[in-house]
Amino acid sequence: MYRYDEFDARFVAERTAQFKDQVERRLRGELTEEEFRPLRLMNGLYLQLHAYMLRVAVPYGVLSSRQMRQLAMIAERFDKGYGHFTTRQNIQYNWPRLEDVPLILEALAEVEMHAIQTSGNCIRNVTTDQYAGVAADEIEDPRPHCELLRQWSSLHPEFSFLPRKFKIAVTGAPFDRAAVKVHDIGLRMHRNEQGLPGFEVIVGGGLGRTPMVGKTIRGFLPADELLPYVTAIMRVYNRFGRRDNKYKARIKILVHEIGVDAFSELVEAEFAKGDHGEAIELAAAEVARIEAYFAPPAYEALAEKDPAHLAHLFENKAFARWVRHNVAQHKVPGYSIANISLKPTGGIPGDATADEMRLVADLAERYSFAEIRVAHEQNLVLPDVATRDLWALWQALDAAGLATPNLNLVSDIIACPGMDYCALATARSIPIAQAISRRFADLSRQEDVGDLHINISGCINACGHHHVAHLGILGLEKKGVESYQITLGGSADENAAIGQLIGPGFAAHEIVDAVEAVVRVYLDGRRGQEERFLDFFRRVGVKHFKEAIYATA
Amino acid sequence: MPLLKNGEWILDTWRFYADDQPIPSARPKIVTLARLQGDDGEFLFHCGCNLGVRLESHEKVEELEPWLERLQLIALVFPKFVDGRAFSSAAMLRGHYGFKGEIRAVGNVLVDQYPFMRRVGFDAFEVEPGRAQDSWKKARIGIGLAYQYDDTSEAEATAVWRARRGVRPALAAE
Amino acid sequence: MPEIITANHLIGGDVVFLAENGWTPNVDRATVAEDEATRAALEARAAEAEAMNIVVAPYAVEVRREGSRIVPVHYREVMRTRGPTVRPDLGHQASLGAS
Repeated sequence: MYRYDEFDARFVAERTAQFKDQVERRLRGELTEEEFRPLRLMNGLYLQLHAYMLRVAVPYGVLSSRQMRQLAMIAERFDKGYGHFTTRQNIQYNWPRLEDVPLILEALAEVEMHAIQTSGNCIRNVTTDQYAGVAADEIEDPRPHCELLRQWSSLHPEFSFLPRKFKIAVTGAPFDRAAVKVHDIGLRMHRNEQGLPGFEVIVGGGLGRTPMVGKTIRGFLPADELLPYVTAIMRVYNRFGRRDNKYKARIKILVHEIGVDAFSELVEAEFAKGDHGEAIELAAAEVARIEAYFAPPAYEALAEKDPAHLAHLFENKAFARWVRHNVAQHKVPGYSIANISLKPTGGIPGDATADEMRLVADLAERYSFAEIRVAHEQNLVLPDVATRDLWALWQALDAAGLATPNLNLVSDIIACPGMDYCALATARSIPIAQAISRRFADLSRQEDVGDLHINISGCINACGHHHVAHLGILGLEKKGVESYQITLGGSADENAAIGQLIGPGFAAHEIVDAVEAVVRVYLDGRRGQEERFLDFFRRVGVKHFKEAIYATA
Repeated sequence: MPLLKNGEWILDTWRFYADDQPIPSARPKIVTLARLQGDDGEFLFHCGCNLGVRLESHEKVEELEPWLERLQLIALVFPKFVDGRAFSSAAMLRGHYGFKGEIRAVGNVLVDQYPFMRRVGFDAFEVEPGRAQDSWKKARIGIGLAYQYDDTSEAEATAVWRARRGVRPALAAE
Repeated sequence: MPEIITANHLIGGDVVFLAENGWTPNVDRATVAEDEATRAALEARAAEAEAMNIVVAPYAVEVRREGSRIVPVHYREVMRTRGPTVRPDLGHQASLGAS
């Protein structure tokens, strides 16, 4: 993975010292809250419902064991013993004291981490495929360009006071695990006929109160022109994006209002103005430098099939089930990608205790070249596990309650913190996730239902990505109580779609029954198990569900 | 209004004239874009003294093209510090147009934005007296490290990517 | 009306309520304003505490009395008096033993 050089280290040290100074000025009363607020937001520090919240960037979801241990230490020493992995591959601490935040930032800097640009109207942490660099279906490793974008977007002088926040996602695989079509900029790596790497550039996707699927403005952009081109997009947005209404300030609204063709013309005209010689040369040199850090680890030459592993699969049903659901295909023979579900039955999606973090760090060290990934689904990944080690890994995870075999099943629920923590929320999300998870605790039943993604957001801002769930739940307030709306048919992959509302909302005590009713409609009507929930929905449409659900209610 | 230029607080010799104010003939003056574009806009250049223009955040730098070579100063307005359009205006003036005169930040100009402003090409800062100015005078003003290659203030900043050229990755990897 | 004033501590970030002798984590000890004049006085005290950098972002919350308890009308504010409903071991509900 990427390691800081002296410049990166100095950069973060300078920023940490700067924020320490700002916190001290605030505590001495030299800064008012009004003045301090934008400064703390630039460093990922929010004031939430019960306390401050610090959001730490996990660049494109990649963590080392050492970093994970430090996150555990911070959880223990400065928080209440746990952290929350977010839908943007970051980690949040829910209880830091303001006076401790400089110390936390120093502890993060020790392991090459920071909280810069995890909030505010700037370019946020770039996200990518949690299987980047190891996925069997990958065309190109997106991580070097993610790192390039990370550096380039860090305290960008021109783009730190944008109309609104700005999110970039990159994928190097045809199967999109990074939801690039619902980001402000989505980049899909391709190779052209000459075999040169480049990007399909998708702009104007997003969720929130106006969900939209992004539109392609360049089918193929040579990889070395990435930064000048992204600069052109950002400049057009910074100049012409709406600033009169924060709900209309995202780039998706600009693209929608002027039309994708007009937007594309503006970008191309801006791009054509500059002589990008030096930019291209410097970025190419940077990418080459960065790529060295992402050289494959020292894989052993292993056979694709391990006899002992096959025997364990045959003998142990629980292990076989975990492998079936949580292990993905690695590009190197004899290796596997192991997913660690942070969705135990009745658990809080994405939460991990300090002990769990340390265990994952230990296991990564032992079995995965000391590397961990954070998935936007709020799970963890050990990307480089020798298939023969899966048995030992599973036993260790299982003993710690971290081997829930539910990836992509009904109980693998994405949920924002909701009103249990968030100051913006209109309803709680976590208790709904817990209740659904308990209702579907029977794994055989989950397996029968198959691939069904449930996402829950506690307000219209949609941090829980409910719009792109197969079954989305949005928590709102209706006449002084929590009310939950269901949308169906959303998808975050390369065939991204926005879910459709099935009808009036449900009370908190009704929503789990409603979810179960949706599942029953699917089970009753599907053409065998091969017809997945999403396929079924696309065949029968939202009306079919609507009639079935509200007729029985 | 106190002015920070080249790291020093100096007496401002320029003066801004709103559209309803009469313009004296013989001192450096800043006018609005509307005045520059008006009927006697061309006349403003004939008095033999320095002329600058003030651009509101919604006004486009492209509008200045006809006069750029004859303008000594462009003041870019920050109506609120969160309105970041002037950053792009400055970057375009220095980048696309190669404007060499003074680019001045006026309005709600926060000391914490100084590094960003310097790096897109602002070289003068008109700070409103009061609390904002106190914070400017107290703060250590510097730029620090920056990654962006299109930095225009090499004198103060270290552009990391340029500095790295020649540094071997092996050194950094430990 | 009736209303109380809530805010967050500047240094720690924890939820507090304005009481007779300062700020308390215990909502039941909050001073309840039954009329405009009392609320205005409480708001003035809160604004002063904010100016002195003791608390952040104070605001008024509508409550009702349930015996000796003070319970906010809105469920969001009820949660603020207690802590996360999914972690009864954390927040004021843990330290104060609120029901």
